[in-house]
Amino acid sequence: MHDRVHWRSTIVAILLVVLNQATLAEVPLHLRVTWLTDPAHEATISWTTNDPAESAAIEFRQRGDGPWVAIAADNGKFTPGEPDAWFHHVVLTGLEPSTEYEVRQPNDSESRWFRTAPGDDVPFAILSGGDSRSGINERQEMNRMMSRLVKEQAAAGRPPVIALAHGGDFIVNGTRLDQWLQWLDDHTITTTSEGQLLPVIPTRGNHDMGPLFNQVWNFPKDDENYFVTTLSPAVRLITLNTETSTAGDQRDWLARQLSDVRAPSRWLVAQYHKPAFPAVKIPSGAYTNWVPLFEQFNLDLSIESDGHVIKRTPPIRDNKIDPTGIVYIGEGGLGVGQRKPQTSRWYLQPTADKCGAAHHLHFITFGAERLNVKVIKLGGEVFDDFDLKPRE
Amino acid sequence: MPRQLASILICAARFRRHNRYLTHDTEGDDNRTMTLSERPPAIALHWLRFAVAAQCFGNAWALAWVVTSPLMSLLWEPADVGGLGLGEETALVICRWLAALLLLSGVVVLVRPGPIVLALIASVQLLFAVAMCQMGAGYPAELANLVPGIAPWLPFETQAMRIAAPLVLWLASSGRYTRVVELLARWAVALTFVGHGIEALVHFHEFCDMLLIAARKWGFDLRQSAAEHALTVIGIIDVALAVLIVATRRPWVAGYMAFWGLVTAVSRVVVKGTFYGWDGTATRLVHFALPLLLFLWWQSSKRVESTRETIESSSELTHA
Repeated sequence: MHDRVHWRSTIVAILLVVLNQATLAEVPLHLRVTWLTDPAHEATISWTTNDPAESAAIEFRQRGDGPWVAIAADNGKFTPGEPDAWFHHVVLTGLEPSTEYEVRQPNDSESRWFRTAPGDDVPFAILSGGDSRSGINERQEMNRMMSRLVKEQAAAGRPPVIALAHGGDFIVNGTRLDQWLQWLDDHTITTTSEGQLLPVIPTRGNHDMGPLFNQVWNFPKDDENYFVTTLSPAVRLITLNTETSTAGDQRDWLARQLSDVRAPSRWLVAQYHKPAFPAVKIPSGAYTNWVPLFEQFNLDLSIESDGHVIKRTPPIRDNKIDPTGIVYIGEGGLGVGQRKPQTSRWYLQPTADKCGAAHHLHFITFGAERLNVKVIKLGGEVFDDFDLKPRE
Repeated sequence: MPRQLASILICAARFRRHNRYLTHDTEGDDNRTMTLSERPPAIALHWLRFAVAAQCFGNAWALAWVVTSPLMSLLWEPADVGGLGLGEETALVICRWLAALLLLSGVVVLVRPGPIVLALIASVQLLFAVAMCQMGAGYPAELANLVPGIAPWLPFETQAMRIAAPLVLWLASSGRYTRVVELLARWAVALTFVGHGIEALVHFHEFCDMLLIAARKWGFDLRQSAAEHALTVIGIIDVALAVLIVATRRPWVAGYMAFWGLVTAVSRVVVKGTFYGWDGTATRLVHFALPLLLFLWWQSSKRVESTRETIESSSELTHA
């Protein structure tokens, strides 16, 4: 009896390995869109194969009946890691804002599409969340919810969801390619039934260590992963990296960027992984090195991750609650097990009922009169809903 | 002549007094001129005792208040990511009980350190290193870029002094196992310096920020590139000292390591402030106390040795 069970499991295991190899070999996987600095005009289309495919290319066109244009990909092997897998990136430039583009593998009958960021000052929404590193089932459920939200928003004629701002800790161990491939597999769940891709604006978390992060998101090899994304003429998202020096070049860069982009931005938002005002852990370098700059340049909203809780602080300035201060939200609920927030901390006491422990994402809508943040729990319940007014 | 005779007699008396603590340990080129006394000087043991107690208090605070540590992760994270999956509540209860135990152990170490409590402290420190290794914490991301397979083992090096310090205190206080005590201390100091040296050589961003923030606090405009150059130098020195401390018995090597251990421990308070930094400083005081023990031990042994040589040469002169 025991032998029979043993043989059956062995056969199943062999079949799974063979099927997995076949899947990787025959179909380019993980078609995705990455946004970095200018998503109204640029987007990176990426996918994965298990052969070098030096002639890999993508075809794209404005959504409709126009001719397809083929562009060759930059190819490379994911290193280090098993199994052997290759990344392919195509950077599309010169795109039109607020325009839908179709992409497909050459001569493939099936295509996917995405919408570029707006070029005008119009309302739109992004999804934000972090810490998808563990809790695979919950991660997949969250991705299903994202897909549903994107679709429902479009169907209801509300401001479209244009991207996912991921706050980092995509996976448990950033040096494990198998975990990245699993994450990329799961991310395809966010694609709607109409084939709409959800672009990702990635943040590096402490678990995303190693060179694979830059390979997955098409950053240059030694890139430090901090950049400003112009989501619209009136909205900018600053992505920072708490996993490199926060006090050195990045701080100098942040000061310059804030000085440059504050005036033309109605809404100026930052995202980074380790929190300055944590609900569970201790403050990261963001507290010492970035918060004074946030306050000097009147950042509107700060999105943090890493703590695995739902958090909202009151507006904070100069270590005091101040109506002119900055609201910090977070802290990562895209799959990872949730913790109990320490609401006895001075900056969480007034908003203790806005803190909790549940898988969640932030649904952020940028309008002319208000910036609306909703915390949506897995299952769809709105846990928190608040507005910010533009700064005078 | 009477004055010479008197000095010889005084030296002989000193030699006899120290002779009780002499062993016949020889190793390395310096050991040709150094006979290791049986027990480190009392002052060195007092410092070590204080540092081990401080380590307990710092760890207890981190476990009970900060409520986030590799051990906490090991206890509450699910099994598919390397944890034990006990859930947050259970993990917190365990961590807080451990914190209470460490607090009590710290007090016991100050009052009357014994083998059981010191072995317990060493075991807890080892447990922290295991948790760091298991959960992939406790090493810089910069190292993961270079040697991803080896990086998770770094905590066993960086934590070596914290694991060894209670054991050294226990064995050294007993006055036995002189050779083992010295070897343990030397290798623990060396491993920790190698670990931190590697972190400095890969320009660990937290070290870089410590230099930058400290410089800013003291009114210097230090650039990141300059801080990284400084880390390269610090890393080379750390690794070189680690080699020297196991290869030779030079008190200045141990002395410099004690000085540097104190600087790096205090830097936590300087950079993070008293509230967020004191536990980091407290847990790292052993990085000062353990090399200090070697420094004082070797210094005193050297003094005893030179006294003995003086006596021997004086005796030869007298005979001649």
